[in-house]
Amino acid sequence: MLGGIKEEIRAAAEVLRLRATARPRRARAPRKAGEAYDTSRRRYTIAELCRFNFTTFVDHAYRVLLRRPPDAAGFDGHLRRLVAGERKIDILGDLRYSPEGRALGIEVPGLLPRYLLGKLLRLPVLGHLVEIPLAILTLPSQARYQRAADTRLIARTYEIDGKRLELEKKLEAGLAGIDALHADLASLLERVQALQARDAELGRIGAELQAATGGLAETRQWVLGMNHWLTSLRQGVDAIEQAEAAQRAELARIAAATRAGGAVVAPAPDYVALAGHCAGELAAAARVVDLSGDPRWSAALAAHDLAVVDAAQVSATGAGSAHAVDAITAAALRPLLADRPMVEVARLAGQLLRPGGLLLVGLDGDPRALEDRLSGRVRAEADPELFAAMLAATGFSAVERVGEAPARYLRARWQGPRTPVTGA
Amino acid sequence: MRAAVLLPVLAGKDAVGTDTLAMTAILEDCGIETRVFCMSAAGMDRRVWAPEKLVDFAGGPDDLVIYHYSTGWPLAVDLLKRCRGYRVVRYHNITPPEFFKDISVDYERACRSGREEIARIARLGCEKYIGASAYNLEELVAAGAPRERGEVLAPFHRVAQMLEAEADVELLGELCDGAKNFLMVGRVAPNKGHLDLVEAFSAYARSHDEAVRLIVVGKSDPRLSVYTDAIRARIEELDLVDSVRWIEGASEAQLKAAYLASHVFMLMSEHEGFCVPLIEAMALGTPIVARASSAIPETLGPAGISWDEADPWLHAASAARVFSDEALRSAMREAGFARYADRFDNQVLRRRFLGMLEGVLR
Repeated sequence: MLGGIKEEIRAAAEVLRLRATARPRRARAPRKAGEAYDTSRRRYTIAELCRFNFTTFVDHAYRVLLRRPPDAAGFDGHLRRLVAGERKIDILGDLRYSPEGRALGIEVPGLLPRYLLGKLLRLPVLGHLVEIPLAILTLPSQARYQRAADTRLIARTYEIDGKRLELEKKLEAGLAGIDALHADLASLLERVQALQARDAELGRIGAELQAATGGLAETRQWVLGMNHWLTSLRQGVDAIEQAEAAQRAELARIAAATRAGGAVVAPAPDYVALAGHCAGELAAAARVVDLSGDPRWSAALAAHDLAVVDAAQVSATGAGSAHAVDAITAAALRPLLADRPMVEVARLAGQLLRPGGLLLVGLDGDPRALEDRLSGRVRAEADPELFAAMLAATGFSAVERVGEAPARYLRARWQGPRTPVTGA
Repeated sequence: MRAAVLLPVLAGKDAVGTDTLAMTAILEDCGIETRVFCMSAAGMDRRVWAPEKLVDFAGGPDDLVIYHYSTGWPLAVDLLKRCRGYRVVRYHNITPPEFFKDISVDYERACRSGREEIARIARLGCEKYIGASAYNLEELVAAGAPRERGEVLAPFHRVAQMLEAEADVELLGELCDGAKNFLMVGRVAPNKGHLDLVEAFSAYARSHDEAVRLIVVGKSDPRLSVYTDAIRARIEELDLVDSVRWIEGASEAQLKAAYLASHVFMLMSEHEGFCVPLIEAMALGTPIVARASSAIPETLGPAGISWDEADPWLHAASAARVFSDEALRSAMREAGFARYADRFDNQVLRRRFLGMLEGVLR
């Protein structure tokens, strides 16, 4: 039978649990002293009335027997009686059998005889005569109660002592804790003072740092500016270099294309024939300065027993002293005019050549000069006609073109200066 | 032949004392000179002897010695070793010390030493080991006692005296005020589950709109004040102070009144070797809702509702079902009366006790 019921109980338990969670409710306690009593109840036991003590007892007795809370005088008076050692029964009897109590007539079975006995015991002489034998008769039970009360008192005393000891231990621990806290506090105060000193030092350092920070910022701005400027400069140089490299590459490409197309291809110079022509106009072992530095031309001259002196050598050894050279040659005009003005070439030649000395310059373009012309580095003086006119104007005579037609060489004889030569 | 009944302390009205005095009376009824040996006695008029004199009195080969084992007592082991007659160990169980941890060092130590003694006593080679329940006997067997020498006999009790006693009318009047009464009887000790009981009571009180009262009958021990304080604190916490009635050291009349006025006997104990209040409730017709721990299911049988869990809502719902289901209530009462009469009545126990000693008493 219980099996099925237990399942139902288990389900009901879940319902209770959920209901209590959803709607919490206070527990309803049984009626207690001081609460309004059910006025329909007319009967109480002595134990019900006596189970409370001191103030609760008096309050409860009033509410049950007189249906009202105690008035101040009655409350105080009954408490004094309890303190004086009077029995609860006597107080209950006084209330129940007072005119007010009699009017209400609450039933308390057994109260009347015990109350009357109490009254009797309070009578002078007779009360004592009755009380003494009663006391003697109840002495064993009273002694037992007394022993029990003593034991309870001792047990309670032990309990209180135990709790007192616990409290003392806690107090000692607490005092020790307070001492430790005092020590900690002193230590903390020392640390606070040290920290305050450090704080002042930090303040001073902070002020110094603040002062230094202005100059630092200015320096920083300056460095940043410099850095920016250098970066811009580097970028500019890079851009220029890149542009130049690109231009060079482009020029090389155009030159290569130009050469490949055969537009301005200079014919190969006839060095041997020209060298023979040159040797025919010069004495044997004549000193010839070659300004072009072309080894093929030098070799052609040497083949006709002419003493070829390099222009750099002339300058270094002094062999090129004034009017000491029989001839000056250059395989091509362009290199001569690449680094110096046209008049400067004429002036140099005039310084080196002896009077009547020969100047022989190739008029054909050097393939290497193509890039220079394309880049605009060949100046206007490279014009052969202009060069010839300039030679004639600066002391050279017999300025003429020589060589196989078309004549590709310009020949001139140094006659000496006609007019002072100054810079261009 | 002489018979000696040995125990450390004899208290006339506690479970062990009642069992001791009942066995003594039965042996005397059988015409056997019987003495009780203990270190101290209280609450009765019977003369007792010092344990040291036991061997002189009943140490012979034809004598009978019954030791009521409920606490650690090395002297008893020594005395049993020196007796050459029929030795009976009556085991009432000892609460595991873990229950007293952080509550009472004294109790914890005493229970630990008592349980440490189980193995020594179980292997002492006594002629009979009688457990107050099969649960108790199994502990002895597990500790080394020979199973064939084991018996189960419920403790003798004072239920008959309580049935005959007049209930405390004043207490009855106080308790019969319309409130639903939950009753717990047992000393206020940590294995008795008072805290779980308060939770279960609270669960019922908060889920039913009616006046309720928890009656806690039992002696509190100052040495267990930590536990008692915890119960009171929990009661305050749950706002149940006005709903709990403590009855300290109740008389038989008060105890009877409490059983009669209660609507349910609720037991949440975690450890019981037998639990005499259960058979008191059965005998007085108080419906029982209990936690099925230790020996409780064995004692309760089908006479009440028991749960393995301590779930307060389950126990509260059980109480509610008991209150509302008249048929169930009647069936539980009848089952309780029957179980008490068949198994636990002192006359039944007397016959079984004499049957166990039949070989010795011839």
